[in-house]
Amino acid sequence: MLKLMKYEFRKMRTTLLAMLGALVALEIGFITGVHLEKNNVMAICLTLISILVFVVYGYIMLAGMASYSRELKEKSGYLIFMTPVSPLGIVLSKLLFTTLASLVATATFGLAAYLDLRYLIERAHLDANTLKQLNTMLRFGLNSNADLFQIMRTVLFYVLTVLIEIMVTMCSAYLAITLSATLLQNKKGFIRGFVSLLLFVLLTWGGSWASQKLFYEGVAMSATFEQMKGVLAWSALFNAGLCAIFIAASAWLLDKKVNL
Amino acid sequence: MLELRNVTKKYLRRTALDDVSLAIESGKTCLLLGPNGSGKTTMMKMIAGLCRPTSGEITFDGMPIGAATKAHIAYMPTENYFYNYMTIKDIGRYYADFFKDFDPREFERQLVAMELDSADRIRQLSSGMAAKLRLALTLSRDAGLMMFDEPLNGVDILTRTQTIEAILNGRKDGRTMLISTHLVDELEDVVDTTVFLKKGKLIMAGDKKEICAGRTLKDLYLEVYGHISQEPVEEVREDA
Repeated sequence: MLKLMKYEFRKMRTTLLAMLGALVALEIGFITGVHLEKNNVMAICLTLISILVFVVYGYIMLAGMASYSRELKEKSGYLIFMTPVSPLGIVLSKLLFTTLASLVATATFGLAAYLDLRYLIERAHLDANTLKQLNTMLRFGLNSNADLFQIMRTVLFYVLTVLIEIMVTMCSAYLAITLSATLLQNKKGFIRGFVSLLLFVLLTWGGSWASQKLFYEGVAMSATFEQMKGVLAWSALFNAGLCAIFIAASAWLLDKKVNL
Repeated sequence: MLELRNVTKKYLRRTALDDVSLAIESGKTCLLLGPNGSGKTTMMKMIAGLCRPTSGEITFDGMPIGAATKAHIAYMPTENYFYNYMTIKDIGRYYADFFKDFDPREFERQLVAMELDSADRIRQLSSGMAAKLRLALTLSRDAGLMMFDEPLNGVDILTRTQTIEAILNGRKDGRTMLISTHLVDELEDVVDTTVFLKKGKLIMAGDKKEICAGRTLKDLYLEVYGHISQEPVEEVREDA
């Protein structure tokens, strides 16, 4: 599986290098703005980097799905399916690589945005009073008396929960793609596309609906993190279970119904 | 031993293989014969694990086709299946990564014999060069079962001779070879068993000498799939 991930990286290497190139160019722009004291240049570069945090995440996820779909339809799929790797290993290698690559790319852009923003804040000479006011606003917004560390922990927890929910969407997309290329392969094009899209929508919506019904019913909108953390943990476990089921189903379809 | 038991493969409106049962003993060189659309490629792809039968079972050395058997089966398809961004060297590394029986030194030797440059990119290769690369990769594996799907198609006469020689040199004790082809003449003398497919059905299979019963394989092929003229040829006299 790790070897397959290595080759997934090789396939996406040019795209990742282009993203890195874009980040380097924007950072050079930002640093140039710093030296020339051009606030608008710094602001534009920082804004673009911040936007790209989300764009690179979405792009890599979509590129991963498109690559998987292509390989199930084109002859290059022979290269992977002739290897002595189990169908589960094949699916996991693609999912894991796409997830890791998107997270690393997002974290890289996110770190760059954070460092640039921090520099700007320091440059603006925000005093201790202003920082204290910002802290108070944060605590009020999160309805908690927690200190900054606890707030950061809360944010991280929410981010992880969101990432797991996105993984559910990804895994259901992979299952829909696998279904289209296996069980539905002999059907007409529009039926194949319609059924797999319908499955994707049902799985994604169904998983979200089930999670809401099971864990979030009766939970107040104004609930604090301390009140929510149990619900979030169970919801994350449920979503992780859904991911496992979708991945196992994709692997089963590839094992029993593959048709390259 | 390679065994197919009641294997059927159906597509939307077509049955590619229809209730085929077959056993090929280890160490034999088997010729898989049939016109276009007879099911040869489908059979090989199922044995290689690239597609699944609609019904029936295929086993190799007692194991159902899957990840375990793929480690012991080498398949040379008719089509190009490489990533365009790769070089020939990259493909060799890929095979070395995934197949324990792949010999990189044998691969280099095959590349030299076939006049291929390892630095060439896949997208630069002609169809003949790509065919040679597929052959080189397959022959560089020490697999228990080697399958060659139409290895002589689309190559010039010189390359055809090279290919036949390379395949013959690839034979060894205990290794089973399955070769599909229309070109019966070139391989007639080197096979042990033959399998005849027609429109997805198994017509006959067995030891070549027994099946041919004194005829050439080519004549038998024409009998099975076409007609041999039984009228005597008129003698032509040239006027002095």
